[in-house]
Amino acid sequence: MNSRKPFLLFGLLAFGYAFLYIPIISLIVYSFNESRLVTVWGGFSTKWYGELLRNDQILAAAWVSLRVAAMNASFAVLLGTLAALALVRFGRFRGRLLFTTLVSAPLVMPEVILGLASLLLFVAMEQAIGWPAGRGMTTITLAHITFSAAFVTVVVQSRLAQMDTSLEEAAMDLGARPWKVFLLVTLPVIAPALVAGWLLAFTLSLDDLIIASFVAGPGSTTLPMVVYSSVRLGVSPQINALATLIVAFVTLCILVAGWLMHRREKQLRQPRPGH
Amino acid sequence: MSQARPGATSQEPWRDPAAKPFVRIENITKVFDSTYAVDNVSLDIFQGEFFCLLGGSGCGKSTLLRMLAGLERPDSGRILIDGTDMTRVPPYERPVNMMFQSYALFPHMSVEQNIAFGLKQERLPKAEVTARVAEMLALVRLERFAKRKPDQLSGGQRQRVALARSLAKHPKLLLLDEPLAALDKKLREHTQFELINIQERVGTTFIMVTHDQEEAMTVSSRMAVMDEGRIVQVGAPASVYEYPANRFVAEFIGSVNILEGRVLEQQGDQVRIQADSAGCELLMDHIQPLPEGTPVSVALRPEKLQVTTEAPTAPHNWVKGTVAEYAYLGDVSIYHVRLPGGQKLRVQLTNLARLTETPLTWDQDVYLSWQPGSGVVFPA
Repeated sequence: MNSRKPFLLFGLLAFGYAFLYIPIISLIVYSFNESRLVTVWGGFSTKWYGELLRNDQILAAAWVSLRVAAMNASFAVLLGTLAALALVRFGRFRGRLLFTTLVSAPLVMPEVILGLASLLLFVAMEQAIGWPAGRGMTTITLAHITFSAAFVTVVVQSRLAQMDTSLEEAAMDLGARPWKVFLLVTLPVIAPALVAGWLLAFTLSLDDLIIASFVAGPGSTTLPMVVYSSVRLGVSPQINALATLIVAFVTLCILVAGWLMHRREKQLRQPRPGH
Repeated sequence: MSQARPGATSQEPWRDPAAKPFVRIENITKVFDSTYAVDNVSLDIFQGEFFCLLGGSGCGKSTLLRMLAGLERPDSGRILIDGTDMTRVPPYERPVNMMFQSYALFPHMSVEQNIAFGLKQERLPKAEVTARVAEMLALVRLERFAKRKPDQLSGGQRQRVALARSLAKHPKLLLLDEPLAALDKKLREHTQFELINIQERVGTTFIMVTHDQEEAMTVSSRMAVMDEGRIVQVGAPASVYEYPANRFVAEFIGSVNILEGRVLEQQGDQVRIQADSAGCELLMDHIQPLPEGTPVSVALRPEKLQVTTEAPTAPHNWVKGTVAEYAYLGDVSIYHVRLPGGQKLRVQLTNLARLTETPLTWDQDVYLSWQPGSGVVFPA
């Protein structure tokens, strides 16, 4: 074997990871900076974390974001699962292609367009039926559901497609009616995908700035909006501290989601002879 | 082998015209994307039978089984089980259970919970569920594995859980879709006999789908050979093997040599045939008279050919050739004998004595002969 080849590959790998993660690492390192100036190292300190916890504006925004994200994730899982079931289990129904396209459109639609479209819809609806009254958490949540549900659909759809259909047939053969088959067999088998989809929708909502900026109203400022506007006034190390917490939280969500998706892989990949 | 079973020989209900079939399939047709998966199939299966549906992939055997389970709906025809029309009854209301090819064990439930699933759907009292699960675990000898999850079991153990689960509700009819396909050869052969034993103990009517003709011959009381959505032949394994209905069945079940020829004359219950490509004359048993000149195929099984090194004296039913290939398999030896016309015949000889040196070698001239009753004649 050529011993230089692995060395070269390792170098390329290290460069790739460095390119991806050095900005984040420097952000985390500077969150522990003593100095008020973000770019000058003044010694180790956790004071900015303390200051962050006394910043009511940021805490309020974080609370709004978390509530929006949780509500969004729950509804997105419900809708996304229903859409995935329709796509995977109901065969070739009339309009399936149109439905598939409509479900996956938000995945590729520019967020600016989604945000603007949602805003126009909410304004028109308020004039027509009086709901939603004004812009606020409700409108942010609704707008987030529209694109999160698409992501949940993709996650649940792939899990459903992997699932051996004979599991459901066996349950039915053993005397379970269709809704019991769903509750006792389908749901437990796809449960990891539902949790992963929920976490995915939660982080997507937590990260979103653009759509939220369009459909937010007074008193419903989300965390990314606060971060963005305070950076425009000059970066405070508080923002580094906040960003570090967000990175930690999102990483945790992704790890849990990934672990859940892989945990049952073994069970789903039971030897399955062809017909 | 199933013929030797005491139960099977004493009762052969399909021979009794007054016997009432337990499962009656009437003119069933199923079309997928304008191809006939099952094409106007009718079949009677009797109580206590171990019936096999045998055929290559795509012959419609699995579709027919799934229609019995209620997982597919036939486009036309009727299915009666124990005298009741089941054609439109959903799977969860049929007195039928199925064992799936993939076993379809619920991955999130233990062995016990898998077996109890069907019983719980019936809302049986808890004590009875427990008793029935214990009975089933004992039947398949898995008592020690009751608490395990399916992914902690070997292939053979999973197969037995699937069997126990499908038998737990005491179905009137058990359907088995290639139940042994995922097992290795040794385990498969062992399990075939275990299936026969279990079937005899529980007395349930079994219908099994398989593509493996040896498996079908081992386990079944009767079998139906299917091709392109139709049933080609129904019968006990021995009658299907010895009297195949046509060339397809002859070639599908076991191996066979086909000699092409034409009829010279019918002589009572026998027919004289000139096989031009093989360069010999045959005199074969054939009751239905065939007119002179009819092109025919004669099917000869490899184990029914005799090999001699001197020319037989009879005027027909032998042919000269040379040994082209030879394989020693331990219990038997297989020879490929090349005829003057170029066709190769397969011959199987049982190695009765211990063999250190083959009596026949490559390029040796040999004579193959056979009896009038050891082949079957098909009009081509």
